[in-house]
Amino acid sequence: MKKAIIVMLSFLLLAVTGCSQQAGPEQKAPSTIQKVKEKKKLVVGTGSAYMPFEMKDKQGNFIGYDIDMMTALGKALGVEVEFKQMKFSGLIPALQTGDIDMAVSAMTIRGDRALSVSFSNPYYSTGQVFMVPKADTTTKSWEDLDKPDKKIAVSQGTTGALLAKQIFKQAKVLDFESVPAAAMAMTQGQADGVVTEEVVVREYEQNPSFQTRGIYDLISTDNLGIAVPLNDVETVLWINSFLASYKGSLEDQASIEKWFHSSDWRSEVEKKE
Amino acid sequence: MGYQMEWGVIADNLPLFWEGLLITLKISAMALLFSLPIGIVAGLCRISRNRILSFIASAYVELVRGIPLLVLLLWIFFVLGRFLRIDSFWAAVLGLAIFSGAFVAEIIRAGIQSVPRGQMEAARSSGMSYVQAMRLVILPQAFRKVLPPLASQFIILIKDSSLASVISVVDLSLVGNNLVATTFRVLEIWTFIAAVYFCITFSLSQIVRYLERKYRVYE
Repeated sequence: MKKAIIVMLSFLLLAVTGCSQQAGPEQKAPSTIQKVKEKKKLVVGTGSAYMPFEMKDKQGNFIGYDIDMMTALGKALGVEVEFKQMKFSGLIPALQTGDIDMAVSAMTIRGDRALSVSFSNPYYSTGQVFMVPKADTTTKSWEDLDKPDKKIAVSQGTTGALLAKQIFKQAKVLDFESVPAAAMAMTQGQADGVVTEEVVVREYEQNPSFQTRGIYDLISTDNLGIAVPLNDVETVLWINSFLASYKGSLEDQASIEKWFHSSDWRSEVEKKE
Repeated sequence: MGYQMEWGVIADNLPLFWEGLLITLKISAMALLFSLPIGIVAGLCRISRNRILSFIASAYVELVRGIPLLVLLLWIFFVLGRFLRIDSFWAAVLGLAIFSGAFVAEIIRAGIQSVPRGQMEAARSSGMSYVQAMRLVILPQAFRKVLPPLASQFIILIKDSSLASVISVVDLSLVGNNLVATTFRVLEIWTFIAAVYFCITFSLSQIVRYLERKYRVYE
């Protein structure tokens, strides 16, 4: 038994100390923009199924507002764009380890995130709202559901998840791996409400199989940004000047019209009966 | 790689890890507790001469063994949960117990079948009933043989309990996921969590080795 404990402790010690290598003196690393131009390819990480920012069409291609913007960015840079789908919570770690060059996933610019990655200027403004089942006709605001027997579903790691944990003092907040899973939990009666982005709530409201109702008083205002590796000033500046010319361009206006003001794209995603 | 380790994130969040660890232990212990009777009953049914019982037990084992645990948990929570009205914790216990029970059933069956037939015949001819012979002669011998594979199964069960986080059970791995989402300290957090899981499973395997030594006396 004694031997076993020693083996166990030494493993722990190894785990704790073995990998805490001290990083050497800071080297001047090439910026992401330079690296991307060299390899002629921009790898963009994006979360999954966040309509209408990013989703896959029936052929499996990425489509959505974020995708249009990044495609235009790739064109401005003169490189090929490769989209990599990953879990939203895996985006920032992927940026830190260099698996992706930029992350675009309707990501809110937030102080805690800005300690780990750097953000471009905002490219879109939205906010967190509350969604309840259509059958629930009494709930007027999120405060109505802050009771001990209520459950609120969120997508872990999102702004909505953090917000829900702050504002709901009595209701239980359930973490799911994605917004669709959280919304599904609510539809199946496993949760009483969902906190997520306004645009997403509008999507669910229009989807007949979910039977949800949005409560559109903004709980918080969020500015979405493009995330790049921490302190990569050159890349941030480049993206900002790109956004300055892209936002308000005819291309951007058409993209906004397509994804936010019309529902024609829905037929590209949904299967025909 | 420009990633600098900062272990402070572990110390800062120890209370959270502790809560997650308690849930992991609770969920594993419950699932273990339920999977044992499920497995023993199903294992016995599988070798029973009663055609219906053995068919039901075989169907259970084959069906559950053929479905990934992740899918089983999601299905129990999202589909079955709608009718059963159970929360995520109990959905996870149920899913893990049903899943592990199928493997326990196979271990029990193999253990009983490894006891020579002559043992049963001898016990029966000395006047014992089938149930008595099973309980007093066959099962004690089988128990010693199934101990090592059963221990492996329970260690797998503890590790598998981390999958419960997909249905929103706040276990050790979900605490890890959430902390990664807010602190982004991926390497530190998952290294720590790996060490904690290892400590739990290693302690369990030491207990089983002690049991094995204890029962070897009768050999």
